Amino acid sequence: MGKIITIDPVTRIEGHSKITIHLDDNGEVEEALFHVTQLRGFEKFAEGRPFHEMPSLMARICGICPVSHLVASSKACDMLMSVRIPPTAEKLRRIINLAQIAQSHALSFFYLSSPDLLLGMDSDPAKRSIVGVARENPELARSGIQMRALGQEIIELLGGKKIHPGWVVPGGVSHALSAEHRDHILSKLPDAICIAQSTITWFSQQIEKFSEEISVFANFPGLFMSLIGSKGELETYDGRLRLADDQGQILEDIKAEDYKSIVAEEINPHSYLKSPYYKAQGYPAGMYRVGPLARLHLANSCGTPKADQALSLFKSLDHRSAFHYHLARLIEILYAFEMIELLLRGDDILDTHVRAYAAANAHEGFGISEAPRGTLMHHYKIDDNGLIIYADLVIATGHNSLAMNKGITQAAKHYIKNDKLTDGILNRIEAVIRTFDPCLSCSTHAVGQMALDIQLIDASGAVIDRVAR
Amino acid sequence: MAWLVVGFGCDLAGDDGFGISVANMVAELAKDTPKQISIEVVAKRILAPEFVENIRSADGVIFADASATLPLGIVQCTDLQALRQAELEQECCTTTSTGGAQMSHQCNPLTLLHLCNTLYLSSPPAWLYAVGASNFGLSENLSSMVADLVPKVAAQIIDKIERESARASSRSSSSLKH
Repeated sequence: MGKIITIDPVTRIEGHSKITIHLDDNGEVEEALFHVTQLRGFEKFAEGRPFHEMPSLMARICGICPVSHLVASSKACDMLMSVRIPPTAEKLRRIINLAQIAQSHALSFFYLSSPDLLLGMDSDPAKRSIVGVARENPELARSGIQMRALGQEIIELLGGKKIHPGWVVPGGVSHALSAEHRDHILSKLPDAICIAQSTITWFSQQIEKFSEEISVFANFPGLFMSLIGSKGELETYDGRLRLADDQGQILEDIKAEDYKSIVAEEINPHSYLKSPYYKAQGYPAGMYRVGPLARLHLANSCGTPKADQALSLFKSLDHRSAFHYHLARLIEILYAFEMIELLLRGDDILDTHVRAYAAANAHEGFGISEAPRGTLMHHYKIDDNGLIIYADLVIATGHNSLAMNKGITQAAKHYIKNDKLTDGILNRIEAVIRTFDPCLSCSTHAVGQMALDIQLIDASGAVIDRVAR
Repeated sequence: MAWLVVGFGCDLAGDDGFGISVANMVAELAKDTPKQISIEVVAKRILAPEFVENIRSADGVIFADASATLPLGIVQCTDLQALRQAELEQECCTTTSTGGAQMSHQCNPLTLLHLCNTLYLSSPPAWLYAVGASNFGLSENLSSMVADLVPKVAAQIIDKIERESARASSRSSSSLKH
């Protein structure tokens, strides 16, 4: 008779989820499933609302990445209005989106994953937190705090507040950047860039300690998808949508708003998180990954000097392994601060023409951008009165759903040798999920507290071991 | 003295919005305090580790929050610095179903003070005003008993700030005389 192991809740992720590990009659791991246990609903809430309300409504999906939804939603509304936004507005949107990526990556790496990376996967669970990191390596903890704080400060200076700013609007942004705020941000960027570089140096020295984890943390051939710039460079705001395999062979390179021609979604009974897949390869073979790992896999350059140096290190690693999401995140933090500096030094960044005005001129709009966790897609349809009649969101975390399930199955098969669990095993399986940095409030639109649950279930469905927090 | 008053909680979860309401009222009352006392008031949904930067630069910190463990309607002021180090570490490392540093990126006031001490080798004196509450369901309103305590606790906080500032000022003058 087979068994099921349950981990509930999964810790140090953004959201409430559980993992079940299914064993066969011989006690061998058959499969592992990542369950997102809360319901999404924003697409339905939006129906009947005026389209221009969508950016501020959609930003409420998440307190970690509201800016990503604000940007994607505003882009969809630009298309409904059939306007081309002023060039300065586009640069300002790029800056706030990069600040969002930097602060979210800093949270993921320093607050949620660095306890495993610094203290060890088998360390005392009571000490595996940012407090434990602060005791062991205060400089690392200070670095994380400073980088997240700067990302949030940039969002606040541009958008008026750190969480749920309303500054990005259909047609552009609501007001211009002041010289005072530009200079303040510029004064802080050199230190942040140095800190990001130092952290990359420190982490690159730790990587070889994790060779076993690298080999089994979602390390398999597969597809990668992200936006890409016109010269094949890293792109977070606009560009074409590219899908390629792990060898770099390009399978699709399309206008981003045509994503529905290559991506379909499957609903699984075990989770409220939908599972997008590449249509041409079918479900579930069409599994692909998004986010920093995919973006850096697909990009031939970052376009900023220091991040480009770090990119060459990333390219030298076996980046089919999800473990290298961590390094990719650090490189993107460095890139974000470098690119913000470049954009702020542009001649027209203080231009006061930052918004185009129009009523609805089209019945359908798409907004696609790169959120910290991957490609974010908003698709709206409106009636003749400008009211939403259809909204569909494909969320970054959702794209990674199939890869997360395959990743925890691979790790569980490697680490679980019998039907008993140790904390170290449990933590490694959770750590596979943490590499993807899923944001479950985004993907399911949760209400309430987020928390993980791992269960060991036998072939008859009985739970024989369970670790819940 | 530079004071930081932090009301925290979720104002969409009934009485959990108590800290936010207190912060808003303290911000009003702070306009009438003597000019030599600077009071920065912050209302926050959660306390994240980066908030340690704000704490570090304050001379004194007062937190306001609703408590699910105190008896309903009871107001308790806890001197956080007076807690012994062992108790503080125990509190910081306790994993609860509602989160904590082990679970996510949320901190409690003790964790933040502990982080401040660990990272910057000092932390300001700090107090927590907690009110026993019972309604934490989805609601934008406080229950009537908890709502009635908002002005009372806000006034107590202002009074605390004025008394502690006067005490610090007197200590400072006395050390100058010596």
